[in-house]
Amino acid sequence: MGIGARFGRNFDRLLDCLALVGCALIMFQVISVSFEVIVRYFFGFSFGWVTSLNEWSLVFLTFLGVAWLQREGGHTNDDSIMQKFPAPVRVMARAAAWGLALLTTAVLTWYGAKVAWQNYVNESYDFFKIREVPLFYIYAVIPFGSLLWLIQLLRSMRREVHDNRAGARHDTTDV
Amino acid sequence: EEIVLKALTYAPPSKVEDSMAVFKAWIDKVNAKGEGKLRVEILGGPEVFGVGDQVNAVSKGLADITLTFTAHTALVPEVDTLGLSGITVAEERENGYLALLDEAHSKINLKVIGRAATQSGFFIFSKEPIESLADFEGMKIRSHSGYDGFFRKLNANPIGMNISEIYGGLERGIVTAAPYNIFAYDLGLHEVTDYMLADPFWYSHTTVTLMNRKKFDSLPAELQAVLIDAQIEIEAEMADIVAKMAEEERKRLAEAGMTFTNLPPEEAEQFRQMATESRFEVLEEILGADRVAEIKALIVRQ
Amino acid sequence: MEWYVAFLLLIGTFFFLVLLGVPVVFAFFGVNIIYLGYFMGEAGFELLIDSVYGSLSVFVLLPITLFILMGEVLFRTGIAMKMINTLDTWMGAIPGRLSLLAIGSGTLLATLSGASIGTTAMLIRTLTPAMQERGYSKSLSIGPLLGSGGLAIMIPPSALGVILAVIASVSVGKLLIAIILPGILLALSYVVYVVLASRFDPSAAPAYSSERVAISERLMLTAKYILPLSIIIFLVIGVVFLGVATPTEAAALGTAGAFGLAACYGRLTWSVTIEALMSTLRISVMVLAILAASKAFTQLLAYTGATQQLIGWATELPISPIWVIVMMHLITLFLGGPIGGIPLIMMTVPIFLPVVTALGYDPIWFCVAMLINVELAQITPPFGILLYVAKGILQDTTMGEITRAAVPIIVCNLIVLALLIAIPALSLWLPAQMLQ
Ligand code: NA
Ligand code: NA
Repeated sequence: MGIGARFGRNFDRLLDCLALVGCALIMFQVISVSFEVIVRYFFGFSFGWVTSLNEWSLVFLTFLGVAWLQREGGHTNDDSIMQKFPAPVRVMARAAAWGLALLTTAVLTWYGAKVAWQNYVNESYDFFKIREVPLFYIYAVIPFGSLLWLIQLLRSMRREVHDNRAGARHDTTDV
Repeated sequence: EEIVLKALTYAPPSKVEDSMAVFKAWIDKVNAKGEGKLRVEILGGPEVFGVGDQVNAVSKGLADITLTFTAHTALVPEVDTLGLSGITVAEERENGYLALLDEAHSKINLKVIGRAATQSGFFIFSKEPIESLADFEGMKIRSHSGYDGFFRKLNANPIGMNISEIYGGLERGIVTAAPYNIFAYDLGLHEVTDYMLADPFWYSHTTVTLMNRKKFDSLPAELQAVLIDAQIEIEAEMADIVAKMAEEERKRLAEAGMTFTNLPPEEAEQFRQMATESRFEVLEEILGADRVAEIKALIVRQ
Repeated sequence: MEWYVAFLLLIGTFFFLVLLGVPVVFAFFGVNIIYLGYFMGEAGFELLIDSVYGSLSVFVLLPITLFILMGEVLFRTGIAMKMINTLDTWMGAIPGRLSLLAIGSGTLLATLSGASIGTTAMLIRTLTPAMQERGYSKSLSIGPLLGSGGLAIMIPPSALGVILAVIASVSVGKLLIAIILPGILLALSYVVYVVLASRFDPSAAPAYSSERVAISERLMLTAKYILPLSIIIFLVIGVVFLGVATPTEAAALGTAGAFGLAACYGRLTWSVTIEALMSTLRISVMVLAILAASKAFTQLLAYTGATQQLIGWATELPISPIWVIVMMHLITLFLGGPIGGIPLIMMTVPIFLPVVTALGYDPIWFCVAMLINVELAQITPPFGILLYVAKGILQDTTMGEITRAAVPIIVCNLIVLALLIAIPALSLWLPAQMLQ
């Protein structure tokens, strides 16, 4: 097996694992919030951390899931208009879509890393949430997830180019 | 050519609140003194940059000025003492407290213009009357990490809750009390609570006007003076503006059925001190005892 | 740059990209990045990251994942199907029986599901074969299904309703309560349509006698499959009324309840749980990514000053304010097809709502009509996601037939929409009772 194929297989495995983490976060939301309500109702006691952790879980599950969703072709688009245009126009539209996708993920990765680093250096925390938790821990998932997203886009692009050469009809839901 | 400074506000620009009124009055003064050379314009509120990001935006030069509160305390912990001051705004300017804040903000490229409100602070709105400190015992009160320490000291039961959920939380009885400034009518607190404890805590208020430091330094001295002079003028009028607005708001709340209660005098003093001390204690861990002592010496009235 | 130039450039580029087939999330982010560089410079990219963090780490967004998961659990464990079958045993040999069953099921499912696409797909897949077998016309089979599925967002729980409330900064609880009456009204209008249609053209819905189920059996099935659903309804709505939990927390309770119910029926397996979670993750990530992107977009729009100027301009238009509102609804309906519910709400509401308030209208009133309108946009040609869903499932039906079947339902929606706009009490009375 070549290096490329081995990388691809491990990368797929990584995305699957992260998706499972995302699922676990959703279960955490169900359980922690229900638990908070029950404890508050019966014992009149509130955990200070339930709200903040659940808010952060939304950031985490989004960025742990974007690359996986990209692979699954789940980022919604509407190409019903483009279908009516001739092939050369469609190819240009596809190129624009790929370009914007790469630009977006590159900016999110680079500036995500920069801002996460700033938060690390400044020892920032979120005034409105749990102040003991460094904001860096939360921000770090943004460049991490975006980098995976970028890599997955490159993989999908490569496959599309390959498929086009092979004359196969490409799957337009990929980007 | 006229220089236009773009300003952000922590609340929507249309919001009726003491700090917003003072800030707008300051802008009017600047624009009058600026005489076509300098003008401040409100760009918008949280719809432009989230409240937590406005200081960042001004620090990085995306806007020039922000009317904000202590949300950036992670970057400048000293700002957390704004609400704890026991002296007048003029005294703060004279004795070096303001300069200390300004110096602390310089590391994130911000210039402190000055306060936007004073002598108002936070009140506790509740479903049951609060007439003694014992009434706080076990009270389910809306909180966040900034209030937690104080409310625990009162033996209350702080419940973490988003600002957007305060109304619903009170309405449905998930909490029975919530701290807020006196301008609570817009939020509808009079619909879901019946009492307001009229003894404020952190009564020096926590709002402040900040400016991008590079931008400030780049202005010619006469225009810098326009900004500062306007601030000094507004500081002299501030207490009256705030008192007048608070009085009107109080009337509005009373007409809506709100009853105002007070603590016995000695408990009221204890209440104020607990609020102040609980903040200073947290700050000692962050800033160190020496720095806190330095600030205390300036702003705690002996 | 003049505000209207900035406005038209930003909005224009966005729509151009969407029509180009660019995924919505990249269209939003892409426009942002292109213009951020121009309006703000490099620091703008750093604030973009702050904005992404800020728009996602919001507690009241939690029901998006929770409501979707609740629906997934009930569908995938087959509980929803059992419910429809039980409802079926109560229907006599009345005209339009299966169409009415479709509406009844849609309404019941609406109280359990937060998203409309899932409900519609499930109803179409289950009920159309039976209808075609009985010789129902396309209009009376597909039409009510298209409409009933969409009820999912008009009767709480409603993930779209939560998003709308968050974006509009109105009370989530109030909005969820406010949509109940309009949702029921909508279901009733469908019933009226089916009854009238099968009166005038009995061949469109041939009557037939179904296997009679003994009354004791029916009662038993009802006790087993319909009554327990009241537990979930109680967990989602009742606890909010009783002051036990906020609407956000109630979404978690309802989901926990759905899991509990599935376990009681002995249908909760690992594989079903994982499937439900994966499907929930899929939709949630898609929605949340778009949400972050669109929030950054509207902030940029505000930064250019276009939002404020537009509000000023719209409030000073020399026409009666109600026509401004009607215009907003027309724009929503027009754009709702190609853009889809969530991004559409995120695009338009931050621009519309300040105008609505400035004109002196109640935001809840506007939001309720907005929600029904967004649902309507999903079944109006030329673009309508639910029309595509129907086409995807019913391979041998043409798009034209599906569209024609949708027309009477569209008319029902328009009538209810007009009523809601004309009679504010329809949307405002019930939430006002909450205060008593
Ligand atoms: Na629903
Ligand atoms: Na449409």
